[in-house]
Amino acid sequence: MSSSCSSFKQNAAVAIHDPKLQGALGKLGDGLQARRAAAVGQLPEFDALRNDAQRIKRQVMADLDCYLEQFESKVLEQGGQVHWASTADDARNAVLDICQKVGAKTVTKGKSMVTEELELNNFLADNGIEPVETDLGEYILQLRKEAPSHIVVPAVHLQQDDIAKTFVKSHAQLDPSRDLTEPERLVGEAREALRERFFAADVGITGANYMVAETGSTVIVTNEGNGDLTQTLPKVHVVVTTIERVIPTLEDLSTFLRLLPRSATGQEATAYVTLSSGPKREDDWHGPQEFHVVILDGGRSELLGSENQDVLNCIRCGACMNHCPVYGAVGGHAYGWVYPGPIGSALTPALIGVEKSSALPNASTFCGRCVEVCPVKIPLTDIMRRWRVEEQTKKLTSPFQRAGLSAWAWLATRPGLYQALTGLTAWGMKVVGRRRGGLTRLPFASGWTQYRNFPTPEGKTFHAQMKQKAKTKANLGVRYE
Amino acid sequence: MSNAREKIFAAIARNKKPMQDAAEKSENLIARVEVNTIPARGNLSGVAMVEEFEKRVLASAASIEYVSSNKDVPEAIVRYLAKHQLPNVCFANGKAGQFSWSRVPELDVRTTIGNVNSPVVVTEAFRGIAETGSLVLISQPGHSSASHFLPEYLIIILPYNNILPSQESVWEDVRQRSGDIPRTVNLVTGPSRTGDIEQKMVLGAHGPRQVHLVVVK
Repeated sequence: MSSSCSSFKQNAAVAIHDPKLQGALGKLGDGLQARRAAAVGQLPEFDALRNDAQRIKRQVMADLDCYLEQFESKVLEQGGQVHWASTADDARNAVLDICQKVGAKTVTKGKSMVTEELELNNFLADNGIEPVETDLGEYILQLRKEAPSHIVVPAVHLQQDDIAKTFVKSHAQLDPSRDLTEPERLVGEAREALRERFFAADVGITGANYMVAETGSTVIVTNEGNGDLTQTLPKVHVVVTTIERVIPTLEDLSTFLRLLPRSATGQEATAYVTLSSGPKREDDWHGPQEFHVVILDGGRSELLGSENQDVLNCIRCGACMNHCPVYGAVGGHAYGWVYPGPIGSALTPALIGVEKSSALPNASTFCGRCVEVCPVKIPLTDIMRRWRVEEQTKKLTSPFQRAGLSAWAWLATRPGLYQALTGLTAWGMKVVGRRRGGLTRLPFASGWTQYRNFPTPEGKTFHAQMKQKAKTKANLGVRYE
Repeated sequence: MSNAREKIFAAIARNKKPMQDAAEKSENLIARVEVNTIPARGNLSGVAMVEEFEKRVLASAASIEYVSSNKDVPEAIVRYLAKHQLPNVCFANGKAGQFSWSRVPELDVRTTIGNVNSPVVVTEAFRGIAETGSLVLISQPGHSSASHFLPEYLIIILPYNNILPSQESVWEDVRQRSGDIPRTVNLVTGPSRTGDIEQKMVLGAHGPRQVHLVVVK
């Protein structure tokens, strides 16, 4: 997918002044955040499970090729096929080839962020095959020709009346004055509209939350049931996934199934978890005659063994974005590529290059809430910080910024001078600030003062106050251990 | 595409950092190296386990009733249909076709593949999971997996003894069956739902709007 990550700042400025978007994003606190907190609170073993999950993922990454081989051989053994794709191009062509061999006209799709990465819908349409998104959120976005703004709740940027308008426009055969004021009516209408598409599709494409090496199963974790209709009704089931999604055993799957729904939507379990292994057996009434797994690398293997390897542990729950103050302020589209929020800021530079995406690791306050809620304990802020360092060393920042940072580094490594200068600055700001009742303008800090006053310093720096306190306590006979 | 395979595996082999005891681990990839945590609520047995199961089934917005034998299943279905003011028609999936349906002549029980798209489907579960109130449905010969997702009302029959504490105990039983894992294993926890509109939970997205469980003691 083409990216507009480098326009993050402009995108964000537009997003902040979009009242509809702000209304939609404002619901995250009482919605997904609150539900996660409740679900996690009811499971005392949640942290133990996080540790297990991190261990399992690290174990897989240490021997990723062995687990992938095991998975592949189990799929083949059961009559399925595995297609390896080094690049997005490889993956697109593999899917197209499968579709063309069976003369496919329409393809139903379950929710899959990897197919967003591939821009698969446009590619299939350009080749005369109609893709039909069947997840409600993705269906709405396909009608609106928009990209998902969240990896779990793709249409989270929309409000109900936006969706009602889209349905009135797109379902033109229905009475335009019908009542669409309740979400139930919108859901019912989409259900009706898509039902025949499920039966008509020649190929069903889904993603995979997991590949289980032990059994050669791909696993989807869903709530609507569209993924299941997508993969049981057509004669061909294509799974599009990526190399890091493999896990060893069914028991390991259970660990992830306890973490994922709680972290994502605050559910103890989603309505559906489905394991698909090979094509249908001879006397099964339903299920595909062909089962294909397209496994994309797309730059992920270069993360293995690197300092940033843990980003591959991600299980795509979206908790990091649900809890991110930056995501909550600007929404997912501002990030400019497939994966928004903290995970996007940590992952995107690895997949499309830090040159195109260095704005993203900078789009963080490093408050660390994402790290606190991550079910697989990815050190997201550390990874973003390393991308910032790379941005600096590759000279991708402006010469002005680099000079400023160098000057800062020079000063900060000379404590005497640093303390004297900061002491002077604090004193100066206090004097000026007191006179004006808050600082409305500051050199080098217009980004702050444009929106709000800078608080007036109390007078002395932290260092100076500490020194003074230590002196007082020493006089009183208290010692710092 | 074999070229892509070589490229990917070469990159992984080049970059991966084996763990210290890697030799041991790679010989024994699938064997459990360490046992994962199973929460206390997934470690229950006896009455406590069944109570947990019932609690979780209800929490998932499904309904539950108990009957004392297989013979009582047909009457339970008729009662359920009457309660929801539904016509006396259902599709009985696979082995569910073998209940003593002749006891309820007023009920039109359909069992052929042409009837899978019926508003009411009756199907048998392989196991139930107390920890989450989930039902495990598996694909089998003469059985439709699609019928678990097509109807408005899904009625699931579960023998009492097939309630197990956790997913892990179900995986043990899946391995005990002969041959490969079934093509499709569905873990079903309540009716289909979506939160895609303003994060509000709405039941009945693409799959069943209601799930009813009949436990046979």
